[in-house]
Amino acid sequence: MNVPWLTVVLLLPLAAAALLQVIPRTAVTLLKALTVTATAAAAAIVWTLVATMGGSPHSAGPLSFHYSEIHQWIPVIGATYHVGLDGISAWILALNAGVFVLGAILVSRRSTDRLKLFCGLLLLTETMTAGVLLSVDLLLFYLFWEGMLIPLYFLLANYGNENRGRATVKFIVYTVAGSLLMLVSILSLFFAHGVASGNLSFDLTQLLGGGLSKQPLVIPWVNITTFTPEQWAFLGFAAAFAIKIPLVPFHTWLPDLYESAPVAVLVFFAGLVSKLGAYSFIRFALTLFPDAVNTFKWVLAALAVVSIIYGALMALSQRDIKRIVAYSSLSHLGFIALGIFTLNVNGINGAVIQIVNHGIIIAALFIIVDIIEQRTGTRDRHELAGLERRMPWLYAFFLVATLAGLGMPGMNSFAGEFSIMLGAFQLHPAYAVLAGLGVVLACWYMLRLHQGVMHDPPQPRTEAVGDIRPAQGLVLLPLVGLMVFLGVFPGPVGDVTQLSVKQTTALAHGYASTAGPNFSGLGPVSPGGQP
Amino acid sequence: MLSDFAPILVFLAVCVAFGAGVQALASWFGPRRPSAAKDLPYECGIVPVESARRRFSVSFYVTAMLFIIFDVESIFLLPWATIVRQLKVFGVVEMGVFIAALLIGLIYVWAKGALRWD
Amino acid sequence: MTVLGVLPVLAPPPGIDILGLLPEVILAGGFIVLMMLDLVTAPAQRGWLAVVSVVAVAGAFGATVWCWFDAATPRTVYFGAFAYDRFGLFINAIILVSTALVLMITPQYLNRRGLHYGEYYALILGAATGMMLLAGAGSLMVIFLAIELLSIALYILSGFNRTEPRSQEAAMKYLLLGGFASGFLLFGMALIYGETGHTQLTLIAAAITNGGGTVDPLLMAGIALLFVGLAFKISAAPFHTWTPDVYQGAPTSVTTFMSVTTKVAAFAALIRVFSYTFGEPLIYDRWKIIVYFVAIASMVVGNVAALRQTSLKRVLGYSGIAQGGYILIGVVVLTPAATWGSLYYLASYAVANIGAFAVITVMANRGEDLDSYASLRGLAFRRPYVAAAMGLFLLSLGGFPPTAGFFAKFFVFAAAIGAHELPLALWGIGTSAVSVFYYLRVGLLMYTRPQPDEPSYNWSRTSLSGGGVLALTAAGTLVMGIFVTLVLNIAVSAQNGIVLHG
Repeated sequence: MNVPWLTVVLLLPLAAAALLQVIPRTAVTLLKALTVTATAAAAAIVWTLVATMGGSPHSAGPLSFHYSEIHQWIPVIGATYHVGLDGISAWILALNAGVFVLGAILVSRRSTDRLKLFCGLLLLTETMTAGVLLSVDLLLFYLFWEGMLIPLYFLLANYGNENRGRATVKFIVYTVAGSLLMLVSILSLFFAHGVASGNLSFDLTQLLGGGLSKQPLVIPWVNITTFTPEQWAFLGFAAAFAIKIPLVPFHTWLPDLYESAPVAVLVFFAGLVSKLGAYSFIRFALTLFPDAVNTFKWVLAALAVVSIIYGALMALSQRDIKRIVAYSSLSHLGFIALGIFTLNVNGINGAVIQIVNHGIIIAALFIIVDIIEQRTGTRDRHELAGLERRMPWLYAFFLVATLAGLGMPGMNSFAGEFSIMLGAFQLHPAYAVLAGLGVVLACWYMLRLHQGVMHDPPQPRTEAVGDIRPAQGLVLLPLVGLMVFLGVFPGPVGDVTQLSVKQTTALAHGYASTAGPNFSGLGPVSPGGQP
Repeated sequence: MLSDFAPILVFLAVCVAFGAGVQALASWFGPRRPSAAKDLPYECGIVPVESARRRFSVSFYVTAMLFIIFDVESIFLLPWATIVRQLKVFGVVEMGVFIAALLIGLIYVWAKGALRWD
Repeated sequence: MTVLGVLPVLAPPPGIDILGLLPEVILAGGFIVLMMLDLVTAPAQRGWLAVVSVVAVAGAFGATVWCWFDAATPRTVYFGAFAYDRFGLFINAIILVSTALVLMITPQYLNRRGLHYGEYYALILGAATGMMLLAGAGSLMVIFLAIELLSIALYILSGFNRTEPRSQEAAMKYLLLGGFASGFLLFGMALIYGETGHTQLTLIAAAITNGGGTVDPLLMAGIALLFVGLAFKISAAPFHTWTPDVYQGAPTSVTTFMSVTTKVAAFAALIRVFSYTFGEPLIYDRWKIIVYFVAIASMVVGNVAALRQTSLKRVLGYSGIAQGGYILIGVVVLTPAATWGSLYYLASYAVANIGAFAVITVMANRGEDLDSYASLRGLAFRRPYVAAAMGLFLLSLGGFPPTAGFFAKFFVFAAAIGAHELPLALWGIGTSAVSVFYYLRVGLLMYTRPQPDEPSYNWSRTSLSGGGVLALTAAGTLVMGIFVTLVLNIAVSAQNGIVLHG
C-alpha cells in the first residue's frame, strides 16, 4: 500500500474546493454537503493516520518523520516537496482536521452570504494549514505559511462585522512583516548551510546542523557589536511566530479580529491558525537555532508570562463576552508559549498537549458566545443574566467549557497546564509563580463570566430566550466530551508526542537524541530538561 | 584616454574665444547710431501689417515632417550607391526592400489624405 | 576605390544572418501589412485587424521557439550588432505573450471608447518589434534605434485618445521626458564610444578589460548617463515622475501594454549592458553604487507613494516603479542567480501586471475606466470571478505564495543574500511589507458590499476574449507560483545562454 496519504490530506480539500466551483450557487444543500463530506473525509484519513502512526516506519535521524514523502521541486535551489508527520504535528493535524469539520458543520447550520465562496475558502485554508503542519522543507513550509493568509484574508475581509476591514488588514500586514523577516532568516540559513556543506537544501533535516556564524556581527563604520548571525536569524523566525501566536507586544491584531470574525471562521482561526505559530516555534526555531534559543529563552519566556497576565487582566476588564474569550485566548496562548521556552521535556510536551486542548476549548467557547449573541442579541456582560433557567443545556456545556478553560483538574487543560507549570518551575520558579497568577486570574474572569451570564434573575434581554436546538447540542457535545475525556485520560496525547518532544528538546539543547520512549506526559521530571 | 580629447577641448576653447572676441571687438570699436527705422523687423523697409504670432495651417507642419522623413531616408541611398558594386545582387535586393518600405509609407500617407491641401 | 576602402564593414553576406532576426522580421512584416490592411478595411471590420496582428505575433512567437532550439550555441549576427541568444529569446517570448494578451483585450475597449483605429495594431506591433530588438541588441547603436522605435510608437499610442486632455497630457509628458532620456542615453553612448572606440558590447567589454587597471572618469560618466537613459524607460526612481501620469492618461489597453513590455525590454538591455558588459570588477564597483541607490529609491518611492493614491491606474503605476526597484536588485548583484532571478521576476511581473490592467480594461464602461477606488467597491458581488482574478494578481504583485510574485521576489532576495548584499534584501523586504497595505486595500474594496444608496459603477460584461485573458493570466500566475521549474528552467537556460563574446 503505497498511497501518499499526506499528499491526499493536502489535496483532498483543494480538490473539493475546485469541485465546488462547478456546482451552481443555488444548490445550497449540495454545497454544504460537499464541504462537510470533504472535511470529514480528510478528518477520517488524518485520524486514522495518527492512530496508526506508532506502528508505521519512520525516518532515521534526529527527528523521526512518519509517512515521509520526498520529491524534487525546484532542483536549481535544492527545494524539495518533503512532507512528514511526527508526534508533535500529528496531534495538531488531528486538531486541524477536527476544527475544519466543525467550521464546515457550523456554516452549514446557517444561511451564509455567498456560501460557495465561504466553503471554498474554508477548504483552501485547510489545505494551507495542513501544509504548514506537514512541511519538512523550509521553503515549502514558508509557501504554506504565507499562502495561508490568502484564503484567510478573503474569509476575514468578507465575513464578520463592519469593523472587519481594518482588523483584517492589520492582521495581514503584521503577519506579512513577520513572515518576511523569517524569509530572510531562511535564506541566510540556506546560504550558510550551502557554503558549509556544499549542497543546497531547504530541508529541515539537512539544515539542523546550522552553519550560521556564531561570531557577533559588527556594524561597520560605527563599530557596534550586535548579535551573531545565528541569533539574528533566530529573531527573524521568532518575530514571525510571535506575531502569529501572538505574544504581547505583537498582539494588537488579535482582539479586534476575534471580535469582528464570524464564529464559523473563529473555530478554526482561534482553534488552530494561531496555534501554528506555537507549533512552528517548536518545529523550526527550537531545532534550528539551539544556541540562540538558549540565549533568548529568558526574554521569550518573560514575554509569555506578560502575555498570560496581560491577557487575563484585559479579559477581566471587558464587558463584551466575545472580547473576554478573545483575551482569555491570548492568556492561554501565553501559557503555550511559556511551555515552549522552558526548553525542557515537560514544558514542551505540555505546550503540545495544550495546543490541542485549547483548540477544543476556544472553539467551544466561541460557539457558545455566538449562540448567546444570536439568542439575546447582545454580547454585553451587563445585559446578560439568568440564562441558566432559560437554557439549561447550554448552561451545562458552558460550565464544562468554563471549567476546562480555567484548568480544573479532571478537565483536559489541567494536564497541559500542569506540565507547563512543571517545566516553567524547572526553568525558574519565578516564571511558574507568575504563570500561576494567570491561572488565578483565569478562574476569576471565567467564573465571573459564567456566573454573570448564567445565574441571577433574567434581564429583559434574556427573558424570553429558548434553549439550544438539538443540532447545536450535537456540535457542542463532542467538544465537551473531548474536554472531559482528555482530562480523565491524558495518556493518548502524551504517548504520541513523547518521542518527538524528546527529540526536539534534545535538539534545542544542541545535541541529537533518539532515546527510548519511556516517558509519559505527567511522568517524572526528565533530567535532560534542566537548563 | 582622457588626453585624447585634449584637441577637442582646445578647439572648443578657440571657438568660444573667437566668437566672443569678434562680438566684443564689434561692440567696442563699431559706431553706434540707433534710430526707429532700425528697430523694425524688416530693415529693407516693408512695414509689417499684423502680429507675427498668428496660427499657420497645420498642413505646413505635416508637409514639412513628411518631407524630412522621406528626405532623410533617401540620403541612405548615397552610401549604398558608393558600394553597390561590392554588395552585388544582395545589395540591390536589400535596397529594394528598403525602398518598398518607404513606398508603403508613401502610399499610407497618401491614402490617409496627408498630402491633400484643404 | 579609396572610398570603398573606408567602408569595409559593410562587406556583404558572411556576418549577416537573417535567421537571427527572424521573430523581429516577422513582426515588422506584420507591422507593414497591418498598415496596408488598415487602408482597405471598413471601420466596422477593424476587429479583424486585431486577429491579423495576433496571427503575426503568434508567427513571431513560433519563430522565437524555433530559434530557442536553434540558438543552443549563442552567437552574434550582423557583425556583432545583434545577439542571437536564449537570453534575448526569453525576453522576446515574454514580450510576445504580453503583446498577444493585450491585443486580445483591445478591440472591445477601443470600441467602447470610440477609438477603434487601425493604426493602433500597427503601432503595437511596431513597438513590440522595437522591444524585441532592444532585448537582443548587441551594440549601442541598436540599443538606441530600438529604444527610439519603441518610444515613438508609444508616444503616439499614449496620446491615442486624442479628444481626452489627460491622454494628450500623457503623450506630451512622455514625449518630452522620453526625449530627455534619449538625449542622456545618446550622450552616454557617445562618451562610451569615445573612451573605448567601439559601439559593440562585446568589444566594449574587451576594451575595458584590456584597459589596464585604470578607469577613466569620462567612461564612468558615459556609463552613468547610459544608466539614466535606461532608468527612464524602466521608470526607476528618481526618473519615474512621468510614470503615474502617463499610465493614468493613456488608454488603459496601452497602459497594459507599455507598463509591462517596455519595462521587460529595457531591463533586458540593462542586464545585458550592465551585468554582462560592464561586469568588470573595476567599473562594477563604481556603477554599483548608483544602481544600488536607484534600486532602493525605487522600492521606497514606489511603495510609499502608492499608499496615498486613489486611482487604481496610478497605484499600479507606482507599484510598477517599486517592482522595477526589486528587479534592479537582480542587476546590482552580479551572480548568475541574480540574472535568472530577474528574468523570472520579469515573467511573473508581466503575467500579474497584464492581468491587473486587463481587469481595468475589461471592466471599463463607455464613459470611464474602472479606475477610481469608488468604482471598485463591491466588484466581487457582481463579478466574482473577475474580482477573484484581480485579487490573485494583486497578491502576486504583493509577493504572496503560492503565486508567481512570491518566487520572483524570493529568487531576487535570495540572490542578494547569497551575494552578501543583505541590506539590499532587507530594504526589499521592508518595502514589500509596506506594499501589502495598498494591494490589500484594493482587494478589500472589491469585497466591500456597497451601500444601497451609493451609486454603483456600471461594470461592463466580460467578453470571451477578455475573460480568456484573465483566465490565462490567472492560471499563469498560479502555475508559476507552484510548478516553479516550468519557467525557472527556461530562465536559467536563458541566463546560461547569454552571449558574452562576439
